[in-house]
Amino acid sequence: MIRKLFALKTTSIRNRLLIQLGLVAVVISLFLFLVVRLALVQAVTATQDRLLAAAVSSVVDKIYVVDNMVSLDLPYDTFSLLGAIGEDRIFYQIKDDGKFLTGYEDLPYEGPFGDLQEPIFTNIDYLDETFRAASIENVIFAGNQARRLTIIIAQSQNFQATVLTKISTNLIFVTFIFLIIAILFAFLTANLTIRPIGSFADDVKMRGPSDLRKVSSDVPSELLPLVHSLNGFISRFRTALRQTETFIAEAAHHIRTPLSVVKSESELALRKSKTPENREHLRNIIRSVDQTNRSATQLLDHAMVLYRAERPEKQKFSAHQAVEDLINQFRPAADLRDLDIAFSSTLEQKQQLYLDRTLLETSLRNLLDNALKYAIAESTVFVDLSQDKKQITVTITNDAANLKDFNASQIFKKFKRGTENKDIIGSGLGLSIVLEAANAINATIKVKKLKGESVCAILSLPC
Amino acid sequence: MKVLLIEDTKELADSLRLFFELEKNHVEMAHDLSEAKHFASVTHFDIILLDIMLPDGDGRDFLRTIRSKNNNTPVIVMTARSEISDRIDLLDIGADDYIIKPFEFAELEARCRAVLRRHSGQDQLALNYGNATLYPLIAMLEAYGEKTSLRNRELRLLEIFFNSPEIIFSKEQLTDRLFSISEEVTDNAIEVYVGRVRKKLHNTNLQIETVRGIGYRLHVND
Repeated sequence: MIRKLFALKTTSIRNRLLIQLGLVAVVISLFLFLVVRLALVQAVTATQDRLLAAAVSSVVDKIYVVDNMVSLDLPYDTFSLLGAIGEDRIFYQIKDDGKFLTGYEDLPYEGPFGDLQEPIFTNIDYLDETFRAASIENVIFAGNQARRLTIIIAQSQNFQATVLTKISTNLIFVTFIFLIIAILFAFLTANLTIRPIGSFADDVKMRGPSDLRKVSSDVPSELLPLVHSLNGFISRFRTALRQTETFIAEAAHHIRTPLSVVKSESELALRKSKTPENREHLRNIIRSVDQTNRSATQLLDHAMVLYRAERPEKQKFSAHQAVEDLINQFRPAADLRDLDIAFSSTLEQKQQLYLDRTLLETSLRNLLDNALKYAIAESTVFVDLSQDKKQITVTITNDAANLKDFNASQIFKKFKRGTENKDIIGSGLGLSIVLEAANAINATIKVKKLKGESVCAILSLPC
Repeated sequence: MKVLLIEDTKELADSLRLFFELEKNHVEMAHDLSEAKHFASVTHFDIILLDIMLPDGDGRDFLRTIRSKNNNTPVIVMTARSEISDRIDLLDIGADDYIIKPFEFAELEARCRAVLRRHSGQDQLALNYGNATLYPLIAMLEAYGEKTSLRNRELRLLEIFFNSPEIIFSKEQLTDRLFSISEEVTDNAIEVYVGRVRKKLHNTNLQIETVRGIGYRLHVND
């Protein structure tokens, strides 16, 4: 039972405390009830015993000897007093040297007997009822002869039972009230005990996503090991993040700089080269460099998206400005292919987004890069920014050749590329990076083929 | 055009210098910040190409320094880092543009042209041959006061011919200069562009001549 009780939400310290304190309260209540009831029984019994002792004493007082004969005047007033209390029944028995003298001969008590100072009190069963009995032995002298008189007075226990029932009922009520109050205190105590943990949790919860300061809340000494562990974890996490950031930057530098050298040297050599064979070799080298660079860039982008998804740095910025800046960044690259980028927007300049700008721009950069890469030369890539009640939508549309094997369900898979575009350099990671970055900022991305030879990417952002 | 090239990787710096010199530009090279500061203090340049990670410091400090001295020479930052936040930081401290390594010469050239177009008027740079004038910064061809606008590849094709008139360029050479290696190019792409440019030269005394079996050259009709 107790195990089952503990099995209920044992992860909650408050519940555990509440259950433990509640159980203690129940045990204490039961103990108090039993102790008080026992004391009460003893007190009622002692009172009855004193009354029986007085009755026995009054019987002894009414015994006298006349002509060597033992005589007795029964003290009816005493008996009627005893019987009047709770309508109890009274039985008595007096024997003279073991011979029945008067009373109820069948009263089943044979001793031991006390004396007037210390009568013997005992319970006897008689007529299907339990009686409380006081018994003494008294010696009187009749002539020269000592006579041994035994006197037993038994009283039923109706009054005692009535009093005990009444007081026990009251006692149960008082104990129940005590239990309720104790459980309330247990609840308060559990809450007060838990409160520092709640404050500590709030302190950590209220922090911004990039707030990796040490926790310095005032907490009870029992929580200090947890705070120290948390601070240690934060410190290690901060170091790991810094190392990741540094690694990405260093990796970018160490991969791209040598590639730049190879590419620029190859381009120069290509420009000076006269023989078709050498030119073909140099073109292959440049293609390989481009392919390596693209893969490296997208792997670094992928690492950056994974890192940012864990630690998004939300900020407010103008959606219009962000998209326009990015388009301007791409214009020289578009010009090289005689592509136009047409930007239209129904958004107000001041319309702001609140999300990680780097993740958004990584998505858009990959989408625009794809659009420019696959667009038919001298065509126009359309970028449209619009808004409805729930979201801001960026739509990028471009004409594209080779859409025969377009498969919307496959394009977001890593390293999946259309078989028709093998001549165009790519790693097959771009759209999966877009999907991951979009997921990290609670955006959705859809790519669909339009009528004719157009492809449209729709990025919907929460606003 | 006078270019200050600040790049610590010697091989890359040499390639870039050769490229700019082939395009008839004058290049000064600095391999660290102190050299760069020295050049910037003694000479005026039309454009500065700046690497960020230099042996004796951060290229961004150089950029801040020259901007604080009201030196408005256009600066294009060449960096291996591609994060948007880096680009925003660089533009905030005064860079005019930003190019990620490795890049194609054509892209660098296009970015230089775009930056110079923003900074200077159309008369800043003009190439003359025959009775025609080519304004690369604004992609315009002028003859007898009549101006014709050019698309990017038409401009680059004409630039190649204006920089080396009477020189024969093979179809492959022109393809490599006009198209990215990573692009799909059809066999007749150069013929298409040569045809278009010929039409735009109709009111000049220039002609793109086909040298059978060899290639094309720009020639003045007498």
